[in-house]
Order: sequence, then C-alpha cells, then structure tokens
Amino acid sequence: MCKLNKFLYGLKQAPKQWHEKFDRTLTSVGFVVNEADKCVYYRFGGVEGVILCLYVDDILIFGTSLDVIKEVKDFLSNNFGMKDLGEAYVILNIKLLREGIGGVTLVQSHYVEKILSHFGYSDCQSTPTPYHPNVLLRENRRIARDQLRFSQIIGSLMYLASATRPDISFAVSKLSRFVSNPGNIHWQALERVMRYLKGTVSYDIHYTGYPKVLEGYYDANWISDADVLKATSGYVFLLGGGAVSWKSCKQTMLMKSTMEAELTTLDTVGAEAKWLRELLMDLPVVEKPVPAISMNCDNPTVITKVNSSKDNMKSTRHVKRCLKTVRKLRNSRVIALDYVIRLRIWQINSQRDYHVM
Amino acid sequence: MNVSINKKHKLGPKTVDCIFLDYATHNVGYRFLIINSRVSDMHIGTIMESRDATFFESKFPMKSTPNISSHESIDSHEQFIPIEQTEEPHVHYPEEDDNTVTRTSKGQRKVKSFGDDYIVYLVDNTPTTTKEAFSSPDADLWKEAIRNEMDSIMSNGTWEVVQRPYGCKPIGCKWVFKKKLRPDGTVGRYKARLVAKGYTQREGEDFFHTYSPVARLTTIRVLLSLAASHGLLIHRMDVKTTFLNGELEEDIYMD
Repeated sequence: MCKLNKFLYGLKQAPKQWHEKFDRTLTSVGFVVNEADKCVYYRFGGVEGVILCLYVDDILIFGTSLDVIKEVKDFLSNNFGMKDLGEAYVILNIKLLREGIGGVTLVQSHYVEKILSHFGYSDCQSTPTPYHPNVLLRENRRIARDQLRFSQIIGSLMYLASATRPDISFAVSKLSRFVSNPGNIHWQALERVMRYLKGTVSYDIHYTGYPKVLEGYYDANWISDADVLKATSGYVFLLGGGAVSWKSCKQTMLMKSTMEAELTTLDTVGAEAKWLRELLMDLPVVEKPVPAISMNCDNPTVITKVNSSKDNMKSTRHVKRCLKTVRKLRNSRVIALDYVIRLRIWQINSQRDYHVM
Repeated sequence: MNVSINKKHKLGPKTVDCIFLDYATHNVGYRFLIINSRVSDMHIGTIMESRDATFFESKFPMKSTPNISSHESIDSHEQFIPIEQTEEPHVHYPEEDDNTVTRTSKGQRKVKSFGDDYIVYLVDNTPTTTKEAFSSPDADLWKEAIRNEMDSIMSNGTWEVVQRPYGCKPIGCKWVFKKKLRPDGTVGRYKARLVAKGYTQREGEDFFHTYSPVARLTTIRVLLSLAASHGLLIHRMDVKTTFLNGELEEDIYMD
C-alpha cells in the first residue's frame, strides 16, 4: 500500500497536473501565457525572444535567433527530462519544409499516400474536383454498405482536412453526415474524394510571409442539404499568403433566405475572427495595432444590413441575435466587411487551391 | 434459439433448434441454420440472424445426421469455428420470412488473396502481463526494462509506503510492455512502463477537473505563418517522462 506523491501514467488528472507544473515553471522565469490559447507562451526582451507552443509533450520553439533558442532549451532541460529534436521537420504528422529563412511549407503528401495505399486507392484514376456539385446526397434507407471501412476512411480524411487540406473539407464534412449508414451513392462520392486526392497528392500550404495582415473570406449557400434543408457555411482565413483557419459546416438553424444564411455564417466567422485577433494581439512579433480583419463577402444585402442601424427584418430572434453580434464586432473594429463579386472569390480560391465551398 | 416476438404465439413453442454458422455481418448477433422447428413460419433449412440464443457447446447435432441442408454440405467438425466459414457461398437461401425472395450476394465479400509472395507470421509477441514477460524468451531484457523504470520512479520519489487509511479505496496498477522498433524493423529498445488503472478513479473523489494541454491546429498554423513572415527559427523538443512531472494535489493510494 503506498501513497502517491508524484504522477503515474494512466491517472486521470496527469495531463492537467503536467500543464500546471509547466505553467508554473515558465511563468516564474518571465514567460507570459497567451490569453487566447493557453498552450502558447512567449518571452521577449526587445527584439529578441521566443514563443513556445505546447502540445501535451511536444514543445515547438519559435525563436528570433539561435542563441535565445539555446538558452530556452537549456532552461527546459534543467527543469524537465527533455529530448532535443533539433530543427522541427515534422509536427503531428505534418511535414515542414523551409526554403531559406522565409517561407514555410506544410505538406502531408506522405500521409495522403499512406491513406490511399491503406484503403486500396493507390492506382485509381484521378479527378479534378473532390465533389460533384450535381450529386445530391440523401439519407440511405437501405442496408449500409461496408460501414466500418467508410468510417475509417472518413476518420483519416478528417485529420487531413483539418491539418493541411482545406480543399477537401467541404466534401469530407458533407460525407461525414452519412457515416452511420452509407449507401452506394455515398461510396461513389467518397471514392471521388480519394480519386481527387490521388491527383493532388503534392498539394501543400505555403506561407510566403506576405501579406502580414489577416484577411478572411466566407460564403454560404442556402439549402444545400436534401433531407434537412439546412444551409452550409464555409470560411477561410489567410495569413502570410496561406490559409491558417478554415471550416465548412452545416448550419444549425433553418434559414429563410440566402441573406439570413450568410448572416449566420458571418456570426460564426466573427467568433473565429475575434479569437484569431486576440491570438495575434497577444503575440509580440505581430505589429501593433492589429487592424480590423477584412471579411470579404459576396452578398451586398448583408453588408447593407450590418452597416445600417435600422432593424426592420422579419426574422427569428436567432437571426436578429446574429445581426446584433456582427454589428457589435464591426463597431468595435474587430472585423470590417468588404464586398467582392463572386468571380473574385472563386478566382482567389482556385489560385490558392482552396475549394472550401 | 428463442423465437422472435412477432412469430411467437402464446402457448406455442418458444424455441427452435439451430446450429451456429457464423457471426452476422450487419448486425450484432449470430447466424443460425434452423434444423428443428415447430414454429409454423420458421422452416427447417433456413438461415436466420439472431442474438437471442443459448449455446449448448457439448451437443453436435450435425455429427449424426449430416446434410440436412440440401444445398451444400457443411463439415460437421467445422461448424463451431466461426471465422473461417465466411468464405462459403450463401446464395440461394430463402429469407427468414417465408416469402420466396432469394438473397443475392451483396457484392462486397471477396476472398482476399495476397498472392504467393506473402507469408503471414506472428511478429508481435509483446507480453501483456509480468508473468508472460518473465516466462518469455526475452525475460532478461524485460526485467532490465522494469528495473530501469522502477529506478526512475524511485529516484523521482513518486510514492511513499503508508498504512492503509480507513475507508480508502486504492487504485490498481499494471505494467505495460512495448518493443520500440527501429525503422528497419529490428527491436531497438525494450520498454516497460508502470501505469495506474485510471479508469477506476471516480470524479469528485479521486479527481476533480481534467483537461489536456493541446494547442489548436489553427494556433500552430498561425505561428508557422508568423515564422515565415518574421523569419523565426523553429525547433522542437520532446518531454521524456511527461506525466511523471506534475505534483499530486489529491490523495491517491495505490496497491
């Protein structure tokens, strides 16, 4: 019989306690924790400094020079049992490529190849798009076809879509609604995604470092879902020439019009924009003041609605709440709305290989 | 096997005799061949899927009367081996209801052939208990691994031996063994780790609040993007024994 003083693997509170210890150790020597993401710590004296990013037991160290990195590494090694992995070339199964000092590329081609070969799509024909717009997916009322494999593939694609491939996120989010009972038509759609991946194995996210301001694009389509008649929202935020945050999701409420659907999307996007802005504001390398995030949308009605102070819509209170929230964000200079014609959104999307909507 | 509710008559027979064929592919349950039935619409020689069954593992009804099913012969000694039978063709059986629609193959069951180049053999003989570890051929290496782990635990001051306080419920622990492989497939290191059985902990008693320090993927991408625009160097470090690092606030006792 013994009483535990320290932690063992397997105890429920082990990760929390580890984080608290890490937190205490770092804050005691002058590190500051980022308010938006508690796993980010930074310490800057003048222009030199480091940013730490904690992922359970992996620590990413971003430093302005090798000396400060070395200092932090020594400090960490003195306090915890650490293993130095040197320059980062892979994080969470994402490969990092650097060209010179500027420019970072995130690539997961090895993971795509692994998925393709594991599920037997290594030598299929490639297609140019991940999803055919004319395909209407409905709930399957017959016997499910190979449900387990379907969910396995969706699981693998989910990680890919959330890590480096915004272009398949719409298709994956759509297909993942049918995991419980996939039929032939869903399998065809899934195989199309795999064939698309086959042709685009080498797609990556490349950050050139310019422009240095965050900008967002969003769009919504009205009823896209055949069974529940709900709208789909999609957004992407770009920073340093590459996408940093994106999402494609089914909306939770039923909407009367495209305008309402776009407004609800703007509400979701606003929350993400606010969070991203807080994250940036609390990082010393970012130039202050952080300008309002320009949100590009293709619906002039929404812009008019948000910019005016009149409130004469016959909408439900949920939509009105969205309008109020967005107005508040706009008035506090968190976001600014810009109009782009649809063509330009598509152009930007195709140029940078985004296909969120 | 019990008769399903919609076919059951009051005062009628409640069971039919079946033999086990294999596991149902689409449901949780077993597939049975009916060999003796007194229920009117469950016919002898049909196949049905059910979960509601009692097995008599000592009775082998097909041993004495082979080939009740007229379509194919079933090897009497094979009928209790579940997995291997998935390869047998099952095309022309009547459905479990007495309509005459035949069940066609759903077109996804194929016998997988890996060719002659593949030989399947068991690679993973990692022990799961200390007993297995000490009786395995690598017993010395496992003992060495355990000794290393115990050294690190003891030097850390992880626990102190105390008297069992009144009313406390200790949590168990076990050893987990793992062979760390090198990229070329040879065993690089024998690793043993003592883990507590955390699943026996109860919220409000043994722990109060849990989370895991995980950065958002978006955060990581934002930082990488900033690294690109501001020319930051990116290095990575790994904590060796992460969870041995924290101090415990709650009183936890272990056997």
